[in-house]
Amino acid sequence: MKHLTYLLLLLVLFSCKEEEPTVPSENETGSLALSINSQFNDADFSLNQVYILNDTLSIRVEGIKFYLSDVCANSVKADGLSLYELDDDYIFDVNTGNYSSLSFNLGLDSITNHGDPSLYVSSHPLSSFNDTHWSWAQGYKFILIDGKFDSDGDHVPDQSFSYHIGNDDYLKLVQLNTSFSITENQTSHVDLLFNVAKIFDGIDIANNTFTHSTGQFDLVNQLANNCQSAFTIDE
Amino acid sequence: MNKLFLILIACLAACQPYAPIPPIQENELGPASTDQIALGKELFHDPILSSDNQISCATCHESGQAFTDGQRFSKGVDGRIGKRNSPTLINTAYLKHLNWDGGTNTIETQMLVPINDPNELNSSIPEIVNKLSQNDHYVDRFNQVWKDSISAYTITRSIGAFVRSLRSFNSKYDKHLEGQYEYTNEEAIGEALFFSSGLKCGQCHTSPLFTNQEFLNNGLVTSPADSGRARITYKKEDLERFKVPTLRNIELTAPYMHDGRFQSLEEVVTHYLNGGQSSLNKSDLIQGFPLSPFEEKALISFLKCLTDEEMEP
Repeated sequence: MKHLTYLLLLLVLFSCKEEEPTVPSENETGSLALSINSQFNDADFSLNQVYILNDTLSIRVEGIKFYLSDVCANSVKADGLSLYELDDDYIFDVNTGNYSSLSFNLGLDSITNHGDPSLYVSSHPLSSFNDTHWSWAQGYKFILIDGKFDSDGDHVPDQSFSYHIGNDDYLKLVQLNTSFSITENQTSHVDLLFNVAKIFDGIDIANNTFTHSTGQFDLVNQLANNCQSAFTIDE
Repeated sequence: MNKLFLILIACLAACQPYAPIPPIQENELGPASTDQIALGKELFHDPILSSDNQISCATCHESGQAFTDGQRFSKGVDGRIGKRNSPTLINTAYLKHLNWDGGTNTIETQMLVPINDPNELNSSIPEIVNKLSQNDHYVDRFNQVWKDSISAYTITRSIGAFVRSLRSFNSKYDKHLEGQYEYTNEEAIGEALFFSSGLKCGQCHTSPLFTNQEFLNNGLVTSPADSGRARITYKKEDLERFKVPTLRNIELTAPYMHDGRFQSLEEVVTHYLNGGQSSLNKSDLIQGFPLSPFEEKALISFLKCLTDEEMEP
């Protein structure tokens, strides 16, 4: 069974086009440490803190998770998949070379998305132990954002909102231009910024408190697009 | 007279009354061992899988009723009522889509639905792994059978082994095909009617599984509202479409339809005879047909020939 799990882990991963890096290396690999630093516009962000959205709405985000897959340096695939939670760093193996761009998917490719979570050990990002799987649709929640907002003007966030984005149609590719080098057996760091406030751009939270991607597809698409554009390079 | 009638119907036959049994939809392990099936059977019948330790898989899938429960909608934890009729599990091994809406495509992924559904077992894989891992009996059993610990993998592969073992091709229909049973005249006429171009039953309920595994609306307006296949695909053309169910063991699996609205086979036949309701996305095959009382009786006699009386309880 362990053999099987390992095999499937390999199969799970990645579909970028195989292209030569700037300095080609077929066998040598180094590590890319991807850090995602969260902000709420210009302020540092922490879960469960109250922030003011658009100068008017008090909001408290209590949970953010998303799948980060198909990491590519230029168009060269890296090895790894993560269920990202705030304040974690993730390490991906990348062929050595000089790179000018980074891309990744927010979500999972269709084959991975509709796989069997029981094939994965409990510690794996795709196991049932992460509470990120919709069993009735045999698919994963790509992005989970949960929290509360102020519904009555007293600045106390007291009404829940829950946005769970899934379905193949809402897989989003994030592409960022940044220069970095990967050296054999070394770890290179790339820091990203994720602006949590951006998730809510154009979203009327009071009238759209809930989606599990089974309807309200304009809202789902807007949320997915917002998350896609919430990433920038942390210079 | 009867022979002439049969020949006439046979000339009009629209679909093949006999087709070979398709391959089993095996999981990555291939055929299961007897031990794996036995452990799966034990888990299937154990209410430890539910949040209140009161409901097991077998609560809604009783062996004596071809693994259905005779209810319109099943009762789960705390007496909560489910939203669709409990289907038979016999010959699930051959199905490419499971659940009425086809939301899952393997036995192992399907079982996660009732495990997680608040109206069914109301539990979760982490909760079940935790409970079984504290049970010395199951720790020993999993170790014996899998030489491995209790995990999502070993639990789902055990129950999957049992469900996949529930296969039935020993009905009068099968025995007739093998020359071991001679239909009565009524049954023979019923079979001919079933596969005839007039009734077209056999176009969707195709031999040998008696389902073509497609998603269709058979002239039912859903009430309570149910989006059917569109719940998974979000396509308008899939609204109120449901997986064509097998008719094997149909005599034992009342009530009928995705919502269990019909109590008897007579009610089902009357529904088709009248061409169903004016429903959304109704299949063109549902047109209605004339049927004399004798023919209706013959058709139902044939449907009862699909019962496997030797299926192990």
